[in-house]
This record gives sequence, structure tokens and C-alpha cells, in this order.
Amino acid sequence: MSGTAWRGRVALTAGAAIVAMALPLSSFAQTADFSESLAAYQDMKAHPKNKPLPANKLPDWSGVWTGSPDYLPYYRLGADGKLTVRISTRNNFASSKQAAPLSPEYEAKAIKVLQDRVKGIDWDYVSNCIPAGFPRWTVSHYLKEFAITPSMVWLLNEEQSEVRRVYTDGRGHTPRDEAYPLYEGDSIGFWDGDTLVVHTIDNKEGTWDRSAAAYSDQVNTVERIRKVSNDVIEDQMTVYDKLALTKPWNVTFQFTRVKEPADLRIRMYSCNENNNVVQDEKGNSHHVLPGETGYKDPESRTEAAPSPAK
Amino acid sequence: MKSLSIWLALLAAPILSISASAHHSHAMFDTSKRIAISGTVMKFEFTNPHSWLKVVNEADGELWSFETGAPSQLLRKGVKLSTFPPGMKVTVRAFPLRDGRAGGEAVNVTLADGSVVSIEPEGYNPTATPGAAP
Repeated sequence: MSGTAWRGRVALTAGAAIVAMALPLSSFAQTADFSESLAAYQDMKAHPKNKPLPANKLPDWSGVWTGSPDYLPYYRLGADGKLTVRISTRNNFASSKQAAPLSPEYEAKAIKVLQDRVKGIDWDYVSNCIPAGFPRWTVSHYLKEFAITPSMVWLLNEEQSEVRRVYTDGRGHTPRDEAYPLYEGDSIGFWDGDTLVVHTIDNKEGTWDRSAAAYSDQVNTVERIRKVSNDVIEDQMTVYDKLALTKPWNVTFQFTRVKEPADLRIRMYSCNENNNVVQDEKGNSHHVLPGETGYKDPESRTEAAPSPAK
Repeated sequence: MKSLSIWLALLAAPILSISASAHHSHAMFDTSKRIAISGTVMKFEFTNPHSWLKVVNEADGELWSFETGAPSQLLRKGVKLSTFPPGMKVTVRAFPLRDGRAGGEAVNVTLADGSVVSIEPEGYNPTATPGAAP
């Protein structure tokens, strides 16, 4: 090898290494385009609809609440194998166009999910006891609490102790060279009267529910959250996702107050502490029963649980 | 299993009609069928992510394991740890595991006094259409 060729190879190798080091950051930070949702959020901030509330008179959202996946448009396969019917029991989508406008790629993913379900294959990332993440957070059945302070709002989910932190102290998003995908994303907000306006970016990819459509790590949202009655908190969300959607999707979710029992409280737990569900060789969910290899006994939680058998 | 009775469900929606109230899929349960197991409560494990009702089948002494909801979901239905004390005689109606092992997803439990405790899986929708998600 000549000296020139050797030096050239070193230069190429070094260059490749630099590119390789840069890829994990650039592949996310440079492609996640949230300019459209940010513009909408900033416009809402510049043109509030309501009179500002004093910091000591912010809304009272105390209590225990619950969400529901029934606000989602669900799909089924038509006779032709396409997604022909969209169903929601709580959102009256006037037409299929009001249901999530899926891109062809993500419509194909939704079809695959339904085809797998027919085969009994029904496993998703939450089955692994990892967080549902946002925006799936919104439709979780589990209990929720909302803690409001003048500088920050915590949106708390019983499931996986998932906490959305919404900074209302005027700060911006995490600097781009410090950002990476997060289960709950990166949220900033402000109060428009009694409405909390939230802009969320930097989410992980996920699905709205085990059998619902997916969203990409490009998903970002603007929410207007307001307590519309003593027992209902409403979340009007616009979802932006240039990979999963053909256009922004407006959808409304609600959280309803849990009244019975009146003293119900959220208790922290680890999903995996007694989890006896594993994925079998076909990809379906499988229960490990007492006496079988890998069974985790709830009464032996001080011992390291053996790895579940597959 | 003399006490094992299988109901041919009149429900329209079996496998795909269960909402994702749990961290895992319900596909391992055959929701087109129901079984009824009568026996004695060995243990009620009131814990996360799911509580379990363990019942010894009076017919043959086999231990059956029935999955129920998380404690916070059960409490909203009025079900507490004391609802199923060890030794209590019960009849559990459940969606059986598809592979025939001694387990299922509890729907309701009849107590010795004839009262019925509903622990139907949250989101269960008997009118949903097969192929639709919950």
C-alpha cells in the first residue's frame, strides 16, 4: 500500500467514524420536524382566548380520574382486506376522514396488526411491561391525577407511574443537541385562562393501543386541556406526524372523575413485579401458571424472579 | 372435571372484543366460551399488574388460576382482599385459556349465599364486531 493510499484510507475511516458518531443524533434531531405544531402553539400563546388567571387562582383538577381507549377510532378489516370501518364509541367521527388520516405506510401497519390478531398474535411493547408513553398515555384505562403548580403541571398515570411534566414557567423545549426520544416526550405549556395549552415533542414511536394505529417518533402534539365540568377534563388534541398521518389530526379525549370508592388512591407498582405473561414462539401472549417453570410467586417478591420461560 | 361446563357463548364478539385494560393481550383466553369451576378459594392474590383468584376444583382437586384486574380496577367494582377469603366456597365463571390448562379470565364469582360478584374484564363489549378492536 502506497503512502498516499494509506493516508487516504485513514482519512476515510476517520470520516466514517465521525459520521457514525453523528448518526444517532442527526437521525432523530434533524428529521423530527415540529415547526407546524410549534407555530400553532405560538399562535395560541400570542392570541389567547381567555383572560389570564392569577398564579394563585389556577384551576383545581384534584381527584382521581381515568381515561379510555374508547375515544380512539378503531379499525376492522373489510372483506377486501382494507380498513373499511372506523369505530369509536365515544367520539362521533362524522366520517372516516375525521378518524385518523393514516398514511399508506401506517394504514398497512394497522392492517397487519388486525391480520395478526386474527391469527392470535397479539403482543405489543406494553406487554413487555415498559411504559405506554405519550400520546398513548391519554387513553390508558388506568387512574390519573393532575397536579398543578404555578411553574409546572404534572400529569400522572397509575400505569407504569408514567409522569408527563409540563413546564409552564416560560422555558422552551430541550435544546436540540440534548434531545432524544422520550416515553412522555418533552412538554412546555401555558395557561390560556383555565385552559392548559401544551406542546409536546421528542416522543418515542408507539401505538395508540394494542390493536389501534401506530405513530412514529416524529409525532408531536398541541393540546388544549380544560376541566369542562366537575367530573370531566377534556383534552382537545391536534396530532402532527408526517410519517403516520397525511395531515394533522384533531381528536378529543376526556378524563372522567372516579367517584366510587370516594377514597380511591393511586398506588405505585412495578408492572414486572409479578408479571407471569410471556411471549410464546408464535408471538402470542402466554400465561405462566403456578408450578410451571418461570412462574413468579407474588408472595416471594424479595427474591430475584427467574427469567420467564418462553 | 364434572363441574366444568362450557357455554357456547351467544356473544357476538369473542376474541377481539376485549379492551386493552391490561398490560397484556387477552388473546390467550377463548372469549367464545365460558367455564364454571366450583371449589374452594386457596388464595386471592390482590396485587399488580393483575390480581389472581386461586381455586381448588372440588371435582378433582386441581388448582385453577383465574386472572382478574389490577387492585385499583377491582376496588372500583367493590372487590377487596376480604371478598374472597381462603376456604370460601365459590363458583367462578371465566373465559378459559385456549390451550386447556387450568386457568382463565374471571367474569364473575358466585358466593355460597348465592350472591354474584362481577369482575368482568374492563372494556368487555359483548356487542363488538369480530375484527374490530375492542
